[in-house]
Amino acid sequence: MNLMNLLDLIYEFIKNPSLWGYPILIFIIIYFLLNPEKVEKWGAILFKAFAYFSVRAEKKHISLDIQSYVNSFQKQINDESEGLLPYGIKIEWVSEEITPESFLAEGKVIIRLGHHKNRDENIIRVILEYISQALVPEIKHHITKEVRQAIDFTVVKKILSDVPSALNRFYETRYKPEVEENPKIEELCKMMEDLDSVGWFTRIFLREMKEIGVELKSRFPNLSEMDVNNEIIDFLRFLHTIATKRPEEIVPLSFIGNFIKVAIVLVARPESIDLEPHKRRIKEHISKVNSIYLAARGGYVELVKFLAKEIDNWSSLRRIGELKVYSVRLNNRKVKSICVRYKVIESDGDNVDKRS
Amino acid sequence: MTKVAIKAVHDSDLEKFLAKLKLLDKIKEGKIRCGICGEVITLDNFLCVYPEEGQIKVCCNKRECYEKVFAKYKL
Repeated sequence: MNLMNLLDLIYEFIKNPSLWGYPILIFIIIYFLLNPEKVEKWGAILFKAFAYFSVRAEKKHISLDIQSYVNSFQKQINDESEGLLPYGIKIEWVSEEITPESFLAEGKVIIRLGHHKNRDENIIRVILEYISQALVPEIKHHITKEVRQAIDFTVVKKILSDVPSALNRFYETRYKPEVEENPKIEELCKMMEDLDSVGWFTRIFLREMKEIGVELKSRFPNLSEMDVNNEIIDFLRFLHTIATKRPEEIVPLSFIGNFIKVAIVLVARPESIDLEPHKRRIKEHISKVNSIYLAARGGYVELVKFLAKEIDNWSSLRRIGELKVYSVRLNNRKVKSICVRYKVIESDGDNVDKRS
Repeated sequence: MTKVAIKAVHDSDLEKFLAKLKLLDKIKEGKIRCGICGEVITLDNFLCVYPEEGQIKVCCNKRECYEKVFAKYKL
């Protein structure tokens, strides 16, 4: 259905209300209220029709188009890991009343955006500004340029995956020149991309980055940048080893650093249909780590849900977030997966069942 | 959803905007340099303006330059 058909349909509903017309209208209104980024998307299409005749419509089209992409992504990433990107964006065009004094008083960067024909470049500029400022800002002062770039590039690539032409432009004009100059970034990006392919980049890696950032902000003001940075790279390698291991391969499943203390419990072995071995393993980790992640794929997802129901009652652990199932692509097949995080809230003493 | 503003100037308003900030003539005369790399700013390579130490600074369209500018500011 094209835009004109849709507008005609809406007009007919308003002009000739019928018993079935109003419920559909109400449904559309509720849908748009719950998904404001969709309103932006439709608004962008609508204003594009007038963009060649009016500069105002042209600017409105550009701002709504970019906002709809970024705000949809923000919703998606927060669905994967709550609070990672706390804000959406609104493009504000500079006022005609601007003066040097008002600009300095406001204290904000003003970026140049081109005609809507330069859509890809406009999207990239805004996304780079947004991600460099809004994504895990707490940790960025403690990490090297390479790690910072790799995190930002991996997220930008995720956002642009829906806009292939902008993604190509991003590869050619930003990613390639940077990795040619600094191959370390490519190596880090590759590991982050592998983590993302199993759903762990946002759900574990970035979530832990945010946690350490908050910790460091309040507890370690004079910390050496390299100490934190090296530990973050080691943690990334640790997760990558687990994410890319062969089914029967045995690899370390806990990471005990100075700042990051994490255990991964893979609910994956056919002999472990019984929950007890998993519960025993979780209990062993409680005194040593700050976070425990339960992860599984395919048929074992349900087992994690059962396990979670039991350990939700332990006084020493608090589940963070809901039990959300997501899909990953493995060997060209869609496989359902789950990754649940528990925060250790008391590491000594027994795991008292809250029900007893 | 909480939204933060990203301020932008459209190409069609660029000269008027720069004139308001008293930068246009200086840019046309080649008197303004990128606050990061020092390259002479023209209407072609201009990418953004940012405030620093009570002054209006200008940044060119080189990736490494504007990424440094973005990293300095919080949304």
